[in-house]
This record gives sequence, structure tokens and C-alpha cells, in this order.
Amino acid sequence: MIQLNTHNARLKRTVRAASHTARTATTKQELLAAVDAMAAFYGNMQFDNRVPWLMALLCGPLAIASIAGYLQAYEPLLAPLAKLLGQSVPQLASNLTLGLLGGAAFSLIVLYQRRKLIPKLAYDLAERSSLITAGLQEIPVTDSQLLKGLQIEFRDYVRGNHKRFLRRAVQGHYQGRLHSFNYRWYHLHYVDKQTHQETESDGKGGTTSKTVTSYQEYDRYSLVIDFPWVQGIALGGGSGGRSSMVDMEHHFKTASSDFDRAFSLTGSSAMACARFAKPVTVLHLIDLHRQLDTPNLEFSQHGQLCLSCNDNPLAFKLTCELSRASDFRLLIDHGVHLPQLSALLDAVHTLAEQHDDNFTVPTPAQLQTEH
Amino acid sequence: MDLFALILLAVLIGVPLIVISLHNGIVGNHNRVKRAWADVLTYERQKTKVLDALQEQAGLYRDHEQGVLAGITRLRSAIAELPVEADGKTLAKAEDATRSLLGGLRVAFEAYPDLKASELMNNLMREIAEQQQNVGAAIVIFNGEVERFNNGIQMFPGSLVNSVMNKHAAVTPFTDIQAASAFDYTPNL
Repeated sequence: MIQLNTHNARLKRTVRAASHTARTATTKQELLAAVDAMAAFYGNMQFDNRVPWLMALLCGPLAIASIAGYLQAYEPLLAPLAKLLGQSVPQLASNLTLGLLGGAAFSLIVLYQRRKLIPKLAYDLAERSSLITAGLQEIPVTDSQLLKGLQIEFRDYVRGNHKRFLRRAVQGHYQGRLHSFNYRWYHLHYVDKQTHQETESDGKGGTTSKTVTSYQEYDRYSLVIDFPWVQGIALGGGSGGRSSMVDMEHHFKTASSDFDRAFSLTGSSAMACARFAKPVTVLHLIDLHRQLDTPNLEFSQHGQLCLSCNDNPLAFKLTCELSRASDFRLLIDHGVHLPQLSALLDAVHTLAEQHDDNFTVPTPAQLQTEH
Repeated sequence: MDLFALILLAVLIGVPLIVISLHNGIVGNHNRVKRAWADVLTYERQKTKVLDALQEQAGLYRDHEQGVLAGITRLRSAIAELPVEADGKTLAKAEDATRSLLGGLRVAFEAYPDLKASELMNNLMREIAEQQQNVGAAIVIFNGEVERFNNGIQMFPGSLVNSVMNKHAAVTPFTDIQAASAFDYTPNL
């Protein structure tokens, strides 16, 4: 295959190679190599956009002029061309209009895509860096059994009356001061379908009614954590203390009005709820509720915790652009951190400390070998 | 029916409903304060269970036994004296005794390496510290509920309903006198 050797073609090849690294890298060194390749790109890290701009500036006004009918005024010029192509003049004029419009649209699309390419690459590299820094590994989500298994264990995944699927999943390990645990992060995308009747005037004094269907798309993020210290408890945080979708059979009210307004606490038994609602836990969860959007916590009967919310704990803010290559390299070298994920895992560790048995705490030796 | 009659009807129905709602709100808040206080007592008294084990362990270290045992006895009696009625003032003695006992244990830990190395003693210390954290958290919750209740009976129109129907007195929240004495500043409350 012949490869073009223009500035744009070389830049595109370099970006494509770096994007591949951003998807597959497993070490920081691979990412740094990709950043170095971008930084070493001779010429600047910008596409040469003279041709698309020229096309857009020529085709755009001409297309507008032809739509306005100015092209027809040049019939003597168009007639020979129409004859040559075997078309009538109006036919040629409308084809030219379409061609000019297409040319202008194509140029604008090329400009838009080129504008997004480098920032997207920077984001992808930083995102891969965040996964590597946090020691996270991707889990394939193509198997529908994975979501079904989660739905059996946790009610929070039973969402979306029209469609639901896992967009992405990663797994990692947390080493706290006292406890260590494995965790998985899931991104659930779901669609709710709603139908309602709309009545409108038929223009003859009567009304007609029609069924309108709308689709609402949502994203939900969750951490599933091995948590053997609590079982059979559910806390619904998005209902203002009223019943929520994760509720279990026994409802429980604590001594704190603030907590009861924040969460609906339910469990497999009233005793389990009473044991769980220690004052330190109540205050800790009120604090957690302030930090997260609509959090739910489900402690399954099999010793797993599902902490879900509408905020993505893997979100990060890109503080530097790839065009500032040396700063970007430094960012990747230090590693992109996920403060929200760390805060959530620390909060879960605090919960573990509150609910573990102080007389069977793991020794430092056990902590080392738990990996 | 004219407008005046409608307004009169609305007042005749609405006012009793508001009064009932305020009255029930005060009763509900008072019960919550009582429950929050009961939680404080529960967690204070749970400490006594740990004290049994602590007493047994301290007995093994004869030289230090007297100091720690005296601390445990003082805390036990302070917890036993806590009243059933919600009153933050009465907590000060138990909290002071806990602080003194934990301080004494820390001194003992430093003086006796065997004691410091004892896994059971460390676990007991962790347990008692956790119980103490729970007491602290229960007090925070109690004070929050006391504030809500006191606001309910001191602000109009709750104050009117309380003075006529409920007749509850404001509850004293818990304040740490020892901690407060460390500040030069005293708010003019």
C-alpha cells in the first residue's frame, strides 16, 4: 500500500500509533514512549488545515449563492458544460448546488475531526495512565451473564425498562491500613422507555390523541467490593429517606434525623440493621451521602458490597494539553490519580474498620499475603 | 357559599391541623432526643463489657494494677450514675473518667514493653477506642437532635403550642467542659 508522506499523513500515522498505545498499554513506559513519539514529531503537532479551510470558504458561499438562484444567471457559461455532460441546465445547476454543499460539509467535518483528534488522544493517554497508576485491569463486558449475575446479587443493577448493558468494567486491589480487598468497577448504561398520550387540536374544533414514546438514557457507576464484615443490609440514598429500589424486607429508623432523611435503611432482619447502624457508621454515611450523587449501598448475603452512584469515581480532570509536550510527559510520568476512587475506597475501608471484629484483625503478615 | 364563609371554613379546618402537626412534631422530636440519649447510654455501658476483660489483663501486671484498676472502677461508677433522662451535663464525668483511664493505659504501655506487645491488650485498646468513637458519634447525633427539638419548642409557633400543650423544657446538649477550658475564647451565648 502506498503511504503518503505529507505532513498531515505522517501526523495521522503517529496519532494512530499513539491511540493504539493508549488503548493497550500496560506500563507507564509504553505511554511515555507514545508521548515522546508525539513530542518528537518533526513539524508542529497541528494538522495543516489550509486545504479544508480553502474548500469550506469556496464551497460555502458558492453553495449559498447557488441556493439563492444566482447560478442560473450564468446560464451561457453553464450551457456548454451541461451539453457536455448530457444534462439540462437546471439539472446541472441543482447537481452543482449539491456538490458545493457536500464539499463545504465535508471540509467542515474534516476540520472538526482534526480539531478533536489531539485532545482525544491526550485524554485517552491520561485515562490509560490513571488505570495503570491505580493498578486497574479491564474486564471484558461482552458476556451478558456478567450483568445477569450482578442483577441476581444486587438490586441496583435492575434498571432500565427498555435496555441495559455494561459499558465498561475494571478490577483492582485496595491495600488499606488494616484491611485489604479486591474491587470491581462497573459502568452500567440503561434506557427507560416512557409512553404517554398527547391530545392536540385537529383544526376542526375537535381533538386527536396520539401516543408519544420517549427514551431516557442514564449512566450508573458502581464499585463491587469483597466485604465479609456486613451481610444483608441495603441503604437507598436517592429517595430522601423514603422507600428505594434496593430496599429489603425490614425497615429501620436510626436516632439521627439527618441519616433517616438521607438514606432508607433496610435489612434482612431488624437486628442486622440495629447492629449496622452504629453511631460512627451513621455519621460516616451522612458524610458519604454529601459527597455522592444518589448513592446506594447493598451488602449482599454473600459478603459483597455494591456501592453505586451517579458520579463516576474513575473521572479525572486533565490539567495539561498534549501540545505542551514536556508538561504532559511529566503528568504521565507522575501518573494520573483518581481522587474520587481513592476517597471512596478509603470510605469503604473506614466502614470495614467500624464493622470488623477487633479480636480477629488480620496481622501484617496476613495483609502481605492476601494479594 | 360566599368568600368569607370559605375563609372561615379553611381556618377552622387548617388551624387545628397545623396545631396537631406542630404538637406531633414536638412529641416526635422529643422521642428522638430520648432515643439518641439512650444510644449514648448504650454505648457508654458497652464499654463496661470491655472493662471486664481489661481488668483481667491489668491484673497480670501487678505493679501497675492499682492505677489501671482505680481508673476502671472510676469509669464504671461514672457510667452507672448516668441518668435515664436526656441530659448532656451528666456525661462529663463518664467522659472524663474514660479519658483518664485511656491516659493511664498509655502510660502503662510505655512502662511495660510486655504489655505493649500483648496482642490481646492491643485488641482491647482498639475495642475500647472504637466504643469511645461510638460514644462520641452518639453524642454528636444526640446534640443534633437536641438542637432540632429545642428549635421546635423555642421558635414560634412551636413555642406557643409547647407552652399550652406539650410543656417540655429545653434539653441541655453535651458540652466538653475540659476541652472548652483549653480555649481562651468563650462565646457570649
